Amino acid sequence: MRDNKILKTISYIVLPILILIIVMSFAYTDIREEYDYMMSDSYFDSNNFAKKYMSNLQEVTYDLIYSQSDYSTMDNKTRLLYRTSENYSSISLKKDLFLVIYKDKAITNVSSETTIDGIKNYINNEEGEHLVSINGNLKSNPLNYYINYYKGLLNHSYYNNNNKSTEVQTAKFEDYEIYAVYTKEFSMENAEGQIVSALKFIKNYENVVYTSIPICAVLSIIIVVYLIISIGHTKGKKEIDINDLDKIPLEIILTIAWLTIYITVIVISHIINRFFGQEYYKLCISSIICAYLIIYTVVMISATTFVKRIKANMIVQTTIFGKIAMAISKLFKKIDESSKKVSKEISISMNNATKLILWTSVYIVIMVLIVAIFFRSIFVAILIDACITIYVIYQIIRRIKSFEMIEKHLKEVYEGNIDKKLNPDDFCPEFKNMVMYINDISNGFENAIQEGIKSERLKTELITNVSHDIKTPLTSIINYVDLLKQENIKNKKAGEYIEILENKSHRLKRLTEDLVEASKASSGNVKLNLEKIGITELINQTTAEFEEKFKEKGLEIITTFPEEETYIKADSRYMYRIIENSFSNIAKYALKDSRVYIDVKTDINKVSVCLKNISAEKLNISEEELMQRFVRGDKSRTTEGSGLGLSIAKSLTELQKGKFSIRIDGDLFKVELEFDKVKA
Amino acid sequence: MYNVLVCDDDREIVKAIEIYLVKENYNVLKAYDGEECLKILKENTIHLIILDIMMPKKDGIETIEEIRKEKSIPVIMLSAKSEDEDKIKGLNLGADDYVTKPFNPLELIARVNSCIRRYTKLGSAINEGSKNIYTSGELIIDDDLKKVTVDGKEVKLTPTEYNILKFLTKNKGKVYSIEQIYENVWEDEAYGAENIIAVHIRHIREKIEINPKEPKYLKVIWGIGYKVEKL
Repeated sequence: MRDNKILKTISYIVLPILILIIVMSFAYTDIREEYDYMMSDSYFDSNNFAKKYMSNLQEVTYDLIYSQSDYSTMDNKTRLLYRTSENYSSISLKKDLFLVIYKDKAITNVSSETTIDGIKNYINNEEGEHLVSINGNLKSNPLNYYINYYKGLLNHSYYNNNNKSTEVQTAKFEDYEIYAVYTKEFSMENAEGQIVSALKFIKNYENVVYTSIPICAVLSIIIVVYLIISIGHTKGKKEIDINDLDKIPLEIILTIAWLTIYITVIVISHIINRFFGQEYYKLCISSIICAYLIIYTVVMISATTFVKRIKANMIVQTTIFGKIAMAISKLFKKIDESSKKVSKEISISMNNATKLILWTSVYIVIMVLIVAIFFRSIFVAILIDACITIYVIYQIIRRIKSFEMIEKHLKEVYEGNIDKKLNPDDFCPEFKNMVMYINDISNGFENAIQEGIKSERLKTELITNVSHDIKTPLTSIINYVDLLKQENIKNKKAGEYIEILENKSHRLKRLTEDLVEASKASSGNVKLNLEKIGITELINQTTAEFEEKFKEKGLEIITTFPEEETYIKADSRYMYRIIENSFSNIAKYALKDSRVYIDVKTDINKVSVCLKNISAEKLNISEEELMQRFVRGDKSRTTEGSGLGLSIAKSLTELQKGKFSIRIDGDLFKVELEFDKVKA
Repeated sequence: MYNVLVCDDDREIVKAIEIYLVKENYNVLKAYDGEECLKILKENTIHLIILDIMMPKKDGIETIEEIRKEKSIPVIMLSAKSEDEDKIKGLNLGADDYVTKPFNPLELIARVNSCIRRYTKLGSAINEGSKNIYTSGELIIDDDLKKVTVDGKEVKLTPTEYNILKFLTKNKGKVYSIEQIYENVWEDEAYGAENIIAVHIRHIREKIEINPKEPKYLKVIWGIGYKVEKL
């Protein structure tokens, strides 16, 4: 489709015709209104026609009355004036003959006869509509009643120049003798008749004209689009077909085109002004068509080459303006490159201090030079100096800003916020490398932390999975030990062994449970459900849970609580775990029949809980060691407990933003908890 | 004789459970994976299922989903997974109870008994007509007879324990601190009595709950108070 030559040629030929049809159709709709009344068949019986016809006659009578000379004498009594038809044409009828007699003068357009009577006869014998009026009596009147209305048009006052004096005389309708004949048909000899007949013809096909406008418009749009798409594509070639015309600068082509159109329009308007409305209408029409074709061709040629250039992406290269712009940008690039080279060489060989001194001196020299050059107008010099200074200050400020941004970022990294990255493009070239190094460092940090989190999570997962695997066989062990116990075993020793098995299997169960919990708590892999918790309430509840265990050991609990309940924000269940672990520690390791002190103290924004008991065993172990996982007060590890209790309690406390610490003072064992206070 | 279907891929565990259940006069059917479990369920009348989660072929989760499409028999999930999420998932899928491994055999049996009783006997037996009966799930307090039953079994409480439980059940769903409970039950200002109340509540829990550490009815909200669950 794109490279079909025939289709293209047809498009080029059809397009002007379509445009012409559109223009003509619009012109028709425009002219139609003006000529509407002339196109109807009853025009010749209308008021309009009567008026026009009568004003023609009026003009004739003017000529008759005012004309002084050039009468050819036909007979003695009457002097006769001839008038050619071209001076008499407000309506152009196919046949329009007249003879008007006033006093001793007469005027006619019949040239074949020389006597008045001859002319009278001639007119009377002609076929057509006859209008005869003799001394005010209408003898024959095709214009019916209209004529009476327009009779007055023939009355005039005029100055009669006698030899003696000038007097005003009046000519009236009754003073004329009029003989006229005409046909109810327009003359085809001049433009008006042609237009009317053409319009009459077109009127029969008016619907076609109206519908042709949108059809032609759509068709021409399609053709234009097709041409735009297909221009420049020829068979067997992928590239756009470029000829010599397309290499001429576009400005030249456009100028030539504009000149051609301008000249054509001027010439055509002269021709039309000169000749339109007369017999030269054929010349007018042919020259209009000629001009149209010239303009069309010129427009098409320039449009085609423009589209081709756009398609071949050479609009810049083939315009003078584009060439100049390209040259300028090349020049700028060169300047830029060479200046970069120079500055690079300089920067390699110099440290910052010498650079600063150099630039400062360059700045001063430029300032002085400008003043020297523009010494005549100091104002201009100051203005330019000010501009340069502002630019220099702006550059300095930019660098200071960069420095501040880096400092701020480093502070954030130092505080542990390593998610943020600096964009090197935001900084001046001097800082880019530095910024990149900083980003690398924080990336390294981030990776290390991510790795740490990942391995901690993997560890927790591993421990959880292993504990699941341990639990299944453990279930069987516990169950079957229990079943064994129920068997009636008479051997005393066997009974003892079963007892040991039962204890150990239960310890194993606790151990696995605590292990999972400890790994979760220490890795922070716990979901916290924070709510307002009353410390006193919690300790009372927990004490109740341990009541029997404490009683067994003869432990006396002595509590000191503040008068009002104090609240903290924490997860209720984990908070219980912390207190429970501390209590069970007391229950396990406190000296029999001793006292346990539980104190809750508050200040403005802190709540502290202190648990004190006397250890049953000697505590020859440091506080730090005791807090580690699997370490228990008794090194022999005979008592129940996993050694994870304090470690879990500490991890859980820290997860809830609290502090957990233990103190050993001789045999006094102290657990201290501290949390943020929440308003009641 | 009730039929209990025990389903676990560990044959020893199934056998141990069987021994305990047979002692309690249950008829035990055994399955070792989910598919077998569903097959036996189709062919027999089963009153309760004990279902492991981690099993070959079809795991416990899929199996309970299948079961719940047709049947409403009680299912006790049995799993080594002790995380809260696992328990919540199992219970949401339609399990009636969730027991973690390693389990206390006596507790498992108690839960089986409770489920069976509820499934077979209770439900319509509760006489809600009388004003003096307070309930939460299968916990029923008859204030006229001063009688407390859990899963149809009578529980003996001291007058203090009874009053506390009655108060909490009457206002089930609400959490009361020790102080509030004291003031409401004794209609007196609480002073230094906190610990006594907490101990009483622990005793009540030990009497009415199968596992007092994981209470079903009388819940401890640590650091806040106590409540009877709205069931």
